[in-house]
Amino acid sequence: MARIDYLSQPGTQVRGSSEEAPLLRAQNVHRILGSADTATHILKGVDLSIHRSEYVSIVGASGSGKSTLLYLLGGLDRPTQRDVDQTEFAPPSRIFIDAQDTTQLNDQSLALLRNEKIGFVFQFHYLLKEFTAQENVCLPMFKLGRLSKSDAMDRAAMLLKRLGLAEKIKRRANRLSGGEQQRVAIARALANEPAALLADEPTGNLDRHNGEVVADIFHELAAGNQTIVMVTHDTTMARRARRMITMEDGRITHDEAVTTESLK
Amino acid sequence: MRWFISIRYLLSHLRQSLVCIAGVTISVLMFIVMTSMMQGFTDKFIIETVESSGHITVHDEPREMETKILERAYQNPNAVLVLHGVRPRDQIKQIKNPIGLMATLRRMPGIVAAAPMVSGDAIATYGTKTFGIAVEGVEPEQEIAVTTIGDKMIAGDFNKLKTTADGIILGFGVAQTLGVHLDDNLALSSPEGGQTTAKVVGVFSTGVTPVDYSRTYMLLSDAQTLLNKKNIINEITIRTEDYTQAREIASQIEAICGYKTESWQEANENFLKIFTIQTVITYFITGALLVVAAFGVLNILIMSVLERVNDIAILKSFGLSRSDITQIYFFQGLVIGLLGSLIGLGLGKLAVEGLRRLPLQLEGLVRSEGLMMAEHPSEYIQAFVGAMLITMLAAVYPARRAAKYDPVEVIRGAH
Repeated sequence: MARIDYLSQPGTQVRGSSEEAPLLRAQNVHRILGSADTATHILKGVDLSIHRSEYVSIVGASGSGKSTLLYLLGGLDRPTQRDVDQTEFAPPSRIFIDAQDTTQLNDQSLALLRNEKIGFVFQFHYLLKEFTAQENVCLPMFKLGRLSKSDAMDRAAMLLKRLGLAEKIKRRANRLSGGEQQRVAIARALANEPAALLADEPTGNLDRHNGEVVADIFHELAAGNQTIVMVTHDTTMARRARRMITMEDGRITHDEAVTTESLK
Repeated sequence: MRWFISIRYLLSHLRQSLVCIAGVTISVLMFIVMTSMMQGFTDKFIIETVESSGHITVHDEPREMETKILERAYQNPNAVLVLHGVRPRDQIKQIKNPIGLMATLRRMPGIVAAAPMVSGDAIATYGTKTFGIAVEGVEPEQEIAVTTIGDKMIAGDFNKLKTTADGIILGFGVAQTLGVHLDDNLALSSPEGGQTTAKVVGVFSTGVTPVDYSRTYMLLSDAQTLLNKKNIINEITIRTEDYTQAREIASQIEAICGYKTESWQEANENFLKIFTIQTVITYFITGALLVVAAFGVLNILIMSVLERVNDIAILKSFGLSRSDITQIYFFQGLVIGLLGSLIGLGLGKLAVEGLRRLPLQLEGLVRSEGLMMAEHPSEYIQAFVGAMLITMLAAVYPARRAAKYDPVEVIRGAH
């Protein structure tokens, strides 16, 4: 596959260095599901900063809280502010996206922030089966409203071509193979040039070949300075990231740069 | 984008969507046809009755019966007053100074014309056939000014009453029952003892069966002789500028003259009540149809929500808010309501035209050739607004339910 030269339009901002404010920041993040006796403390005070252009993988056993952390970092969920005994967490449990405190945003504003800054890829593609591949990719652009309908369709076609789906642009989502559907989902996540691409087990539902194709796409995107945070069980894929975070029982236990040495 | 998604969702379940649209269409169609039919009947009855009998009638009796002498003497409301051997007093009822009263009435605002009348019952005999009739003695020019009877003539001329000695104009039903034609002579006799032979100079048909089967017209002076009411006027018929204002004007007249003054609404109160009940039943039936259609809309939208939980989650993940999701489902209800209503209005219009052209001979309270279909823009507006409101109302619950889904819970559940 051809190298993906960061799938942007002219005028894309230059990715910053690690001295800049982090793109995504978790500050003492707690997440408790349920209440009282049935409460489950999923995240127990996670602190994490992710800067622009970073390629981060999050690994850990099932139930360690990695997916929950990913959803919180992407503003899809909100951190819990009080413990089971109603005491407020100190320091406050906060998520910042591009320096914006998501706890200060209402649902509408948070949705707009997600639309503009975040692209999600899930284990399952979640394509709208009534729509073509191109239309699925267009939907986030239609919501953002920066591009006209025809420009959005052109950009969607361009993204799909670059992801190797030139022949499938007009095909209904449910008429595509699993690997193709996941590539359409990646194109959709990239539609609005998100500041961060968040992926939750993006290869979890794919066969080996398609898994490798998707892994290559992520690698190429990262090479093009796309910020990527990926949750995965696949250690090989996790080690293709430049930074690997390990989680255990709702806490970060390791946060290390992946070097050539560590790959050995 | 919300419209784009809504329409695509509707098209993906084309068959169910069409069934829902058909439900709304049928409701609107039924509403228009039924209200048109009912209103047509009501309008025909009211217009024909009102226009052929006058808008207001002043009678020769006071509204309140005078207090009886015994009740004046014994004012205790709990007293039981019993009189034996009472005989009714032979009292000649009439409107005093009718010419002066009519002059006063003609000067009142809202009144177009007033005409004198003497009325009573008589027996008409033609050969071996005998039939009870209501005789109305009128001045032809004045009667034509207060009613449309001159336009309802199917044979002869109303003004011939003036030029023919003892001329009589018969209702269509009376003529048919007696088997008489123009220029035939009838023997007339009244309970007051008057007798005459009258020549048929005209036949009218108002389309209102009770009128056509009982009413006859004679010249005022001829009728006064027949009914033994020499120089007596016992009714004044009035035409108003706006017949819907008749009730208010009637009460004003009554206050001035003291005679019982009946508007057409009061005179036909029982029929109007029946029409009201009829209208309520029509609304109830068509409303029930619309509610059934609304349940169809509710059902298809709930199904759509349940099978698209994943779609809702992903739409939210890339930035659609609760409000956006609500609107996507609300728009679907709106489209179903809009299409169903508009098609229903179109088909309703066609059905009304088609039914109007049906070659049916109807004879009941009113007589008509073909169904009496009335068309009022308000019925179309009511049908449209009602259908839109109820379908949109049906879309509210599924739309709100869709908006409530937490994308994280959905995505976790799918893992």
